[in-house]
Amino acid sequence: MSETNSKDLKPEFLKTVASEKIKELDVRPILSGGQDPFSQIMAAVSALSEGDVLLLINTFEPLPLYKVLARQGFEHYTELDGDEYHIYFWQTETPEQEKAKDLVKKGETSDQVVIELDVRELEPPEPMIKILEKLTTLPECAVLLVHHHREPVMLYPKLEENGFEATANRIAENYYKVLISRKKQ
Amino acid sequence: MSAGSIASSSYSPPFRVVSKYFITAIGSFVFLALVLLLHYDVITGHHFQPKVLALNHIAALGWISMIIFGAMFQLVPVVLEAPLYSTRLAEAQYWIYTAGTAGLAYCFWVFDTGWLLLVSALLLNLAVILFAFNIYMTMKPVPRLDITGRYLASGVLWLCLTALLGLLLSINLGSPYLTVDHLRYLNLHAHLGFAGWISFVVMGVSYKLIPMFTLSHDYPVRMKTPVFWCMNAGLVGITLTGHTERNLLFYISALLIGVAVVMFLIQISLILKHRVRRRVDTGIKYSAVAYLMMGLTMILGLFVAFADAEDIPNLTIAYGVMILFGYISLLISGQMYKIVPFLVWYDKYSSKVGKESVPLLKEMINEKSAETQLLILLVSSFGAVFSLIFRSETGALISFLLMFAGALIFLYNMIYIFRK
Repeated sequence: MSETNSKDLKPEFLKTVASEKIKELDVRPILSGGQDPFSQIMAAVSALSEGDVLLLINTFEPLPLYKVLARQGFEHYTELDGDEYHIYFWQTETPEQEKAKDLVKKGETSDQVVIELDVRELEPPEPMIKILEKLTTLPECAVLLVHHHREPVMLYPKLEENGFEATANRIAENYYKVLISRKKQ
Repeated sequence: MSAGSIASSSYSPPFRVVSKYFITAIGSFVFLALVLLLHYDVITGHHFQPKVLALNHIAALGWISMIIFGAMFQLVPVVLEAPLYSTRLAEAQYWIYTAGTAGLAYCFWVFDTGWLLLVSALLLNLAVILFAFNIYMTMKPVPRLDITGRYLASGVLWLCLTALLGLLLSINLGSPYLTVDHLRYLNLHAHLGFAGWISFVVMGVSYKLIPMFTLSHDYPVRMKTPVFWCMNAGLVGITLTGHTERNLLFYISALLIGVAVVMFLIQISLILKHRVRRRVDTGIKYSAVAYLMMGLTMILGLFVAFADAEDIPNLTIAYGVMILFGYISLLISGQMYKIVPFLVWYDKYSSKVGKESVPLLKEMINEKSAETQLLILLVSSFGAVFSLIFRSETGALISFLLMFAGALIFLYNMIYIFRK
């Protein structure tokens, strides 16, 4: 079943929202230039003020993006206009999302997938290699919980480079739990 | 569970800053070995001899301390989990320190005791103050310094005292004002440098790196604190007795330093005994040999302290060779074979993990030739010590020829890693 909705299913919210609240981003020129528009999209998302709606114009339906933004509390509505996909993103219930993320950070509870990785039996710099490799295949909805002998301070700049952030919790002498998640844009 | 911290920025300075120190140090080591070879007959004389002073300072400042500065800028932030206070200070220190070292070595070599010697000594003191300030400011935000942090802080304090004493001695060379024997202060200056500055850093860093690389955990740590206090007490003792005839306090202090070294070696063996990784790689081999040499050096040092060393010709120089080459150069080479491949790999390849194939760490180093260097340096250090004590010029020539060969292998291996 296509995610494209017919016009009469358009949410009331979008019908009534003021037109100056809708920020338009056409990524087709970026795509035809051979670039990945992901970072521009995320920049546009983070530039949104409260109550703003992002209107993304694309040549195809960006299904993975729905998941990424859903994690940040965005809902979407998609309509097809000829060859153009018009996708609206707007944010709902952010406080809950914040709370969920905080809980995950503390390693106490999670409604996200937690993938665990134990690097305590590895000699440096194997832990770093294993973690970075694992992150390249980390599903969008998942976080990585690493069991480490120390706080991996040399890893942090590399996480930053790749759009991740980490929280290290010292459990005991020589035992740290490091939670790595995608950075909120 | 302690509160988590979100960290993202870089803790250590950029690789170019650290590598500047490393490359200069490696160059100094090769240069030192070459000069020793060309002037092997020079050092068979008295140790208070200008050219020997020059060689000593090329070794202690150009090679050993240079590499320790670079390594500390890299390691202190990692060990303390706090970012380095200032990269620019570290860079400024490099130029001031290198100029001071070159000036001092030149002045000793030609025995120029004029303004250039004074300026060089002042530059070195300025560099040391910048270093101490940078490390102090890095440590300041750390809520509670762990034992390694306290070792490093002690090392830096003893470095400051060593540099200050060196400045006083260099002024005394130009315009004598010290009323007591210059040699006594020279002795103290050397021991504060080797037992205070270098050994404290070596011990503190060993506590972190050896378990990290051998995956040793949950070992008893009971020696770390007694070593710290014994060593510091011993050093304070020899500082207080530096100007007098040898007395009871001096002998007790020397013994305390000896006991501290023995306890340190016991601590290291406890760490090695609990290691999970049984394979002994090049870096660990170097370190293990160097720790044994540290013990032998300490025994020789106690002998020099208790016997009247001036009766045995060249004993002091042989002791110096043992400290510089047998103990410290081996340890440093071994640590370099661990640290440099990692830093080069981190600088060049860590951003590519998962995106393209990157070399394994063990592909970054030529273990066989590194271990050949270990053997050559070991043989040449003992060779030089015996040749000096038994006054064999041929033996000294062969030993220093071997040492130069060892230095060249080290240079070749380091270039190999840097270009990987």
